[in-house]
Amino acid sequence: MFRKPCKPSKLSDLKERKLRKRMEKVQPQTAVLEEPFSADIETNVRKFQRIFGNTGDLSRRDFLLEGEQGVEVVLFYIDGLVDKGAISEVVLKPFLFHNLDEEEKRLLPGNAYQLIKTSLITSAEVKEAEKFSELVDLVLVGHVAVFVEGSEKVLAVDVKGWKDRGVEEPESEAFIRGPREGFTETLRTNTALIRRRIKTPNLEFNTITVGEYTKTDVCVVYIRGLTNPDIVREVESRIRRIKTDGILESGYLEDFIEDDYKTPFVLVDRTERPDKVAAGLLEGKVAILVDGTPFALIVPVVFGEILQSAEDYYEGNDYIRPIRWIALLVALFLPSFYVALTTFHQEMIPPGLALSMAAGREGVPVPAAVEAFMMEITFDFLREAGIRMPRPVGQAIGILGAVVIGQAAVAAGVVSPIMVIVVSLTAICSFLIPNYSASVAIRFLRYIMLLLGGVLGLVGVFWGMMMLLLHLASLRSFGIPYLYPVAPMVSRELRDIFVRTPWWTMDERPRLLRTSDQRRQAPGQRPRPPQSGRRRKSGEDQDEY
Amino acid sequence: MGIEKGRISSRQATYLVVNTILGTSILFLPALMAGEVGQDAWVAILIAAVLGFLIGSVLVISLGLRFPGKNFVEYAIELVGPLGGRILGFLWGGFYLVVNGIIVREFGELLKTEVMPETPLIVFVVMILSMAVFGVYLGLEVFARVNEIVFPLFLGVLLLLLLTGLPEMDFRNLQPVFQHRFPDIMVSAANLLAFYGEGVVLAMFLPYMRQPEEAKRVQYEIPIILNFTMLLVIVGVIAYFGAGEAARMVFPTFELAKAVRLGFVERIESLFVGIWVTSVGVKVMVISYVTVLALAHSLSLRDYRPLVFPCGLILAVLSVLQFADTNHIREFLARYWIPFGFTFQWFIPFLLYLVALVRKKDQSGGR
Repeated sequence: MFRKPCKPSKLSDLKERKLRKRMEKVQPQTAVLEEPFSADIETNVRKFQRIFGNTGDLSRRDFLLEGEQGVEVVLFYIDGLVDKGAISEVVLKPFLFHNLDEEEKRLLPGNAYQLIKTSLITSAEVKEAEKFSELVDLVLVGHVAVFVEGSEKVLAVDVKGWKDRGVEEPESEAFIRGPREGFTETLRTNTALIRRRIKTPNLEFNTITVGEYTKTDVCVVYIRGLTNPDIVREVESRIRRIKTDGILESGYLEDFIEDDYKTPFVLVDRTERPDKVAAGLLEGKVAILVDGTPFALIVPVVFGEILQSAEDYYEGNDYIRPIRWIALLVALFLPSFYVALTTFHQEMIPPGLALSMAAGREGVPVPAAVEAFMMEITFDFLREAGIRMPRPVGQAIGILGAVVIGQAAVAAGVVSPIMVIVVSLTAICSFLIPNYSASVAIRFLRYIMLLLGGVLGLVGVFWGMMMLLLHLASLRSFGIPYLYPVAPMVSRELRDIFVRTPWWTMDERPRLLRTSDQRRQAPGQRPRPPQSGRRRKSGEDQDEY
Repeated sequence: MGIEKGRISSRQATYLVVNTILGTSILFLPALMAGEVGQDAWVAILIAAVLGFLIGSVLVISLGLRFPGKNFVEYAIELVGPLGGRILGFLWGGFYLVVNGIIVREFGELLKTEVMPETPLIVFVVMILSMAVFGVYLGLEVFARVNEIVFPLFLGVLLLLLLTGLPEMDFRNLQPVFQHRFPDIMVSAANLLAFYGEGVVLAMFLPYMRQPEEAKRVQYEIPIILNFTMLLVIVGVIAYFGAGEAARMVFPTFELAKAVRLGFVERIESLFVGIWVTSVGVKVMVISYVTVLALAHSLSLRDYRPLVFPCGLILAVLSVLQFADTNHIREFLARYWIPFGFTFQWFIPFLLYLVALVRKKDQSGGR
C-alpha cells in the first residue's frame, strides 16, 4: 500500500532527458500564440507561418494594392476548409479591380487597413484579430486571414466551405411515418434543422468549445423561459469541466457528463433525428449537439423513455407501448425463467409439455443453464458479426446463423428444440427496444439473470429482479429519478409510459422537469363531432341515434 | 438536520409499513389464528383492526406529529434526556436486530423446507441479507421506490391466488359464527396486535414524508389496506381448507398456492415464493434500516451507512445461531412474542407519549 517513491535509475533518467530534448525541438510555439501583432507585416507573416510549421494545406497569396508603391497584403487560408470561389469573390476581386478615387489614394498609405475593412471586402462576416491565437482559431474554422502592411490588427473573413454530407434519412432510427431528415456531421446544419422546427427567438444555442486539440464546438440547446435553468446550468458546468485532448463524437461527451458510470443503462439519450430533439426541447429538456457527429444528446432521460420511439407520437398505434414492455420483460427474463422451470420447478410445466420437453432434451449433454448460455452467446456472436460486416458478407452470416441456431443444431443433438425457440424469441424481443444501447444493456443483464436462474431457480431470478430494481431506483439523470414517473409514482404521467394516450390528454409537461411553464396546451381539446343548433339546445350529451 | 436526507411520499410510507407487517405474517398467521379461534378469526382481525388503528394513531402519528422533522430516537432524546433517549434508541435498534434475525431465519427455513431442500440455509440468508444491505445502503428513498413497484405486484398476486381458489372455496366453513368464547377471541386479537406492532417502524420515517400533513392520510390508509388484505387471506384460507385443516398447516397461504389451478397452469407456488422474496426483501430492508438508523442516532453518528455492512454480518450469524430450527422459532414466538414485542413496540412509545403529555412537550406549533 505505502510504497516508497523509488529513485529513478540512471538509465531511465538519461532516457527521459533525451526524450525531453527531442520533444522541445518539435514543441509547438505556444509562447508566440499570446503575442499581439506588430506593425511590421514581414514579422507577422513569419511568425504566423512558424506557428503552423510546414503543413501542406496552409495556402498563401501575396499581392500589392494599387501598383508598385501600394500596400502589401498577404492572405492565408487553409485549403479545403474554404470556398475558393468565395475568396476570389469577396476578397480578391474587390482588391484587384476596385478603382480607388483620388481621395482614397491619398489616404491609402496610412489607412489601408481601415479602408480595406470598411469599403473593399464584400463579405457579410468580417472579424478583427489582435493576437495570434485569435487569428489561428479563426483560420482553423475556415476564415481567410488578411495581413495588411502597417496594421497591428489582422482581418479574418469568413469564407467557410467544405465537403459536407447532405441531410439524409437517419439509418439507425428508421420510421414508417415521420420526417425523413436526419442530422449531419456539420453543427451549423444541425442547428438549422432544429431552428426550422422551433421558430422562437427563445431557442438558444449556447456554444462551448471542448478539446485542447480538436477544439470541438459543443452546443447546449434549450428554450429560454421554458427549460428549467438549473438543468441548463448543470449541463453547461459539466461540459465546461471537461479538459481533454479531443471530442470526436458525442459518446466521448456522454461519458464525461453522465451521473453514474457504474451502470449498463443509458443516463443520456441520443438521437439522429431533429424532430426527436425538438420534442425533447418542448418538454423542457436540454439537447447537446456536437460538431462532427450526427448524434445529438438529450438530457435528462428516464427509464420509460428507452421504450419510446418518436414515431409513437406520429402514428396512432397506441398498443405498441404495452407490446414493448412485454418484449422488455421477455428479453430480460425468458431464458432464465425457462432454465429455472426446467431445472428446479418442473411441476409448474403442464405434464404434456413437460414430457415433450424432456424428450427434446434427451440427447443434450449439458445442463439447461449451460445450454442456454451457449445459445445466447452464439446469438450475440452472430449479431455482432452481422453488424460490422459489409452487406454481402452479412447475408452469408445470416445463412450460417440459421444453421447454428436452428434445425441443424437440434438435429446434431447439441441443443433442444425448445431452447432454439426460447433464444430466438428473446433475440426478437431485444430488437423491439428502440434505444440501441439500452437493448445492449438488457442483453448483458440477461446473462446474469440466466446464471441466477440456473443456480437458484425462480427465487434467484426474483432476487436478481430486486437487485436490478434497487439499482434502477438509485439512478438519477441530471437530478431526475430514473424510474420516474413509475416510482416515485405520478399517476397522471403514466399515460405516456405504458401506453400513449392521444395528444389532447397530455396537457402538462413532465412535472419533475420543473419547467417554468407547466402547461403544454389548453385543456379540454378532445375532438367532438359538429353539433347542430337544435341539438345544442336540447342538451350537449344527448345521443340522437 | 437529521441523518436521512431523503424524502418519501405518503403512498410509499403506507406501502412500506403494510409490507413490513404483511411480509412474513401473511404466510403463517392464518394457521396461527385458525388454531386459536378457528373460523372466528375474522372477528379477531376486526377487533385488532380497530385497536391497532387507535393505538397506532396515538402512539405513532400523534406522538410523531408533536415533533415535526424528528424521528423516534430523536424525540426520545428530546423527551427523556440525551442519555436516556440514547439508551432507549440503542435498545430499540437491538430489538429490531433480533426481530430481523427471526425474519431472515424464517425466510431461509421456508425456502429450504418448501422449495429447495438440498440448498444449505446460509445461501438463502446471504441472499436476502445482500439484498437488504444493498437496499439500505442506497437509502430510504430508493427502497421506498422499489417497494412502490413490487408491493402492488405482491398484493395483486395474492388477490389472483384467492380469485383462482374461489371456485373451490366453501364458505360454509366459516360457520358457525362465534363458536369460540369472547376472551379467546380477545387473546387472539392481542396476539395479532403484537404482530401489527411492527408498524411502529413508521415512527422512524414519519418525519421524512414530503408533507407531514400526509401523516393523517397514512393513519387511515395503513389500517385499511392491511386489515382488508389480512381479512381476505384468512377468510379465503379458512374457506378453502376449513379451520381445522388450516390450523394443522405450517404455511397455509403457501399451501393455497400449491393447491389452486388456473386452467392449465398449476403448482404456481414457486412463482408465489419468488414474488414473496421481493416482499420479504423489502421487509428486511425496512427493519435493517430502522435498526441502523436508531443505532446511528444513539451513537451520535453523522451517517448510518458505516453500520449497514457490520449489521448485515451480525444478522447473518444471528439468524443461523439464534434458533435451532423452525419449531424453536414457533415456540419462542408463541411464548414470548407478546411480552417481547409489546414491550418494545407498544410500551416504550406509550411511555414516551405519557412523558410528552406530562412534560407538555409539543414542538408542532399547535398545528
